[in-house]
Amino acid sequence: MTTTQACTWTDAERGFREEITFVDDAMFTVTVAPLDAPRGLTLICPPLADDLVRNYRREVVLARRLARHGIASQRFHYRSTGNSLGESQHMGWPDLVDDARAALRVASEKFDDVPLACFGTRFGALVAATVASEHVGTPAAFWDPIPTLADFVRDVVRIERLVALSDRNPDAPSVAGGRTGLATRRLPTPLVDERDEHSITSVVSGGLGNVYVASIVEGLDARGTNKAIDALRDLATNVESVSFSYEGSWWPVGAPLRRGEDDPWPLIDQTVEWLVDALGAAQQ
Amino acid sequence: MMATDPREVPIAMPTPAGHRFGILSEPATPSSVGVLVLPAHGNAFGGRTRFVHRLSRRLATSGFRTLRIDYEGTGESAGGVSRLFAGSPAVDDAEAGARAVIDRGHERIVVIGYCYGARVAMAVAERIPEILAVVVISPPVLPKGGKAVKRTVTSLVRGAFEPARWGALRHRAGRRRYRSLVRRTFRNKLPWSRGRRKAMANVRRPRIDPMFLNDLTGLSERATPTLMVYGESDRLLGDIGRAADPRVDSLLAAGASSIEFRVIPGGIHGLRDEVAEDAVIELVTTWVEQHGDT
Repeated sequence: MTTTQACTWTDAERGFREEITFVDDAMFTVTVAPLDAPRGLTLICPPLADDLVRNYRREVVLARRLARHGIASQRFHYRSTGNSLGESQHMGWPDLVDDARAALRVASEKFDDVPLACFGTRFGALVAATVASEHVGTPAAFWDPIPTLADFVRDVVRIERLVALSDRNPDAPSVAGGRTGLATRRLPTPLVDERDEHSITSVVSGGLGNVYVASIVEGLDARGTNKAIDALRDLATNVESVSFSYEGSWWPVGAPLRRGEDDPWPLIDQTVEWLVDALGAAQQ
Repeated sequence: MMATDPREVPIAMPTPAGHRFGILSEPATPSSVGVLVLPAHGNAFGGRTRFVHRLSRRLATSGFRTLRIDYEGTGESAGGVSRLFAGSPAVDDAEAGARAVIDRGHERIVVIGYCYGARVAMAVAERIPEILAVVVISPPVLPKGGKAVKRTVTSLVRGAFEPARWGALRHRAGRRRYRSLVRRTFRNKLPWSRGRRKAMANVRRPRIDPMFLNDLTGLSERATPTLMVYGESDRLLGDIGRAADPRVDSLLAAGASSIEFRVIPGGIHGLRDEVAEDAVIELVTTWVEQHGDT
């Protein structure tokens, strides 16, 4: 595993530093750490497609606020997504999980012997659950976890069909243009082909420690998240679930116009609080 | 990755308001012309189709060192979380990006912007003496982010009960905006108001943002080679047509100024048409090659 020339900066006022690099000239990774030795490490597994765009800045803020509480974070973008290089037609479930493991190795080389937690949103929750279960007793936090890969692919297909339908309607509020296409244009083809093979139940091999689930209400059907929570109750030591509203995205109409770096953000702040407690308990 | 593929190099650009993050797509042998790519707001790498990422890589494959940046409060840059509007372009961030390219040995630079980034490119151009050319892809042309909205008393009252409104009202900026909106709507809708009579005359004809017109005029007066591209089904292109502003029309007329206006099949704005996006990427790359050295 090689890393390109890293870019680093420090926020001395808030007590953290960040290091960004490309692993093997391809995978974008961001390590966020407190200026003092960290008391724990959180692997942050991003979602895919539109979820990645919507969740991006929230994950940045989450990692920075964790660092302010003494917890290092490792963020990354799967190859062929976000800022990473690569072509999606080669990316299946094993490749995406391997990227998460590679990101964890980047952080592990920097931070020895600190307790680990895993975090993921939507598809990222499935990946985070996979990695967490490979490290016995690892706590995990999820935002709107998907219960199965098939559910996720079906959601994406439905949205794409609605978009294609609205694009034919000149009065629709969405932007005109675009073409009818399969959801595979937005998701890696091998992943779509594997959709019936992976679920929360199947990917958790060794059980999970304590789990925190935040349901982000966006006017969408919350059945998927509730289904995931039901599955997690059989797999985890303990599951704590909470609901938040108006957190579909940090960006569009309805969200606050501006949030300062230190402004309260309940979804993120409560997740940070839970992770700090969980990692503190894991250390004991 | 092949040895000749452009490398991606992350950089941090210090500004008085905290660092701004960018990614350089580095060709094996950079041209003397550098490129700065300014994304739409909220889409650091160009949304789900990674339009900005693909554009940057394509330009770098043609030999142009290309930098794409994250504005304050977006992507990996410092700041909290920001919603930005076309009427307040992040010119300081763009200037920092331009300097980062120029400081790497480029005496001339092309600035490319998409959507909100296009408005930033237009606004920052006069601040950069080294600018060679400007490319603006699907820029919004109307005030306040580019949407012509017909507000009625009914829509206002209905909107007051939408849960999303309560979220915005928790913040001072949201409350201030809402107060201004209520005042304007009632002032213009009351039957006896002069505002209503004036508004009725132009209710279906949107007004071009004066800042857009000013920046476009500036590009023309400075004779800066400019490429302006829309998709034929872009709503934003329709705004230009509906506004029917003779000042804009005269600047965009073929041969009238240094501004080249192109419309391609499909839709660019919204990043849902990869065929159109691919066409734009090739068009822009060819145009930059024609205006720069390779």
